[in-house]
Amino acid sequence: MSGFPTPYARYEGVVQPEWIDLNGHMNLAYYLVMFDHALDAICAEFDLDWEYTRRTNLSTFVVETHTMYQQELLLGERALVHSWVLGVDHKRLHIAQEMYRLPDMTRSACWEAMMLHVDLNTRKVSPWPAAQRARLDDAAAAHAAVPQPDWVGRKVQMRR
Amino acid sequence: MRFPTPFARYTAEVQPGWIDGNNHMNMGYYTVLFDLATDELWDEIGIGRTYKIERGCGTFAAEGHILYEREMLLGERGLVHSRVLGGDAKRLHVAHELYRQKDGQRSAAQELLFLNVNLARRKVTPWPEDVMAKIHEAAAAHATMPPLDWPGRRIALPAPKP
Repeated sequence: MSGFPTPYARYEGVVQPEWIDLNGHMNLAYYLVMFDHALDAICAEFDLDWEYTRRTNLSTFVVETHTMYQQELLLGERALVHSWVLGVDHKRLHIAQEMYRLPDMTRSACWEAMMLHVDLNTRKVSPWPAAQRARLDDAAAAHAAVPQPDWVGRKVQMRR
Repeated sequence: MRFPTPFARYTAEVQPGWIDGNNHMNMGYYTVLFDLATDELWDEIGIGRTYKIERGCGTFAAEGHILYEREMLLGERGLVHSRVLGGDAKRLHVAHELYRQKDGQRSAAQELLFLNVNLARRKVTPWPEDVMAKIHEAAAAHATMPPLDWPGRRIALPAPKP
């Protein structure tokens, strides 16, 4: 049985002054910046962090994202991110993340992404190395064994 | 005057603070860039800074979807084409496409759904009549263009090839 945390929740962020817009709350763009920091945290568990990129000149590129904005975050508020591995194949990684305001754990946003493994020498997609693939499969198996986010796979539309 | 088709008034230049360890614009900063393009579109529709000050309303994003297609490097420039896809009493659906100046290739595309919000009450509220009229004018103008083939996408891991 896999010991990978379900969900993975090691990243906490604080809303920075430069992230606040004219509405007096965190601008929509910086939710993605925070989710990216949380992505760095879980990718380190797979040995896919920036140290991996420096060592191998291999990296990951995000190719598609979907964000649902649910609650405002104000200056100085803290948030915890839950991360889920939804799926993996030989070169792709499908991730979902949920941002919870602390300390009341109100969900502020949900984010889903598709990532590709890339060789930075050629800027072309490249298969995961075996060691990284094993860690990704381990996390995917752990997350497949518990209830996962039910909001994934959405499209943007004006629902009635 | 007819609403510009597409609306293309914002040219971006990739800033040093937007670059990540892959030596390209980080995925989060595409949203920063597209939000600056939204500001330009909002001024044309009449829901920008003045709207907030004079009417006490603002727009909150409810949902967004981005396709990342080509890298943008430090100092590269790109022009954003924007369209109003639709609107109703209190919502506005827009699409942005970022085109690289160096080769004209599309680097990214984003669609967004916004809500009109009363900033004092933090509650969704209907657009004022004049704004609603402007949204309908923009949507009608943009509906005359060839339709975009990418809005409405869902993220999915493709089935493995046999």
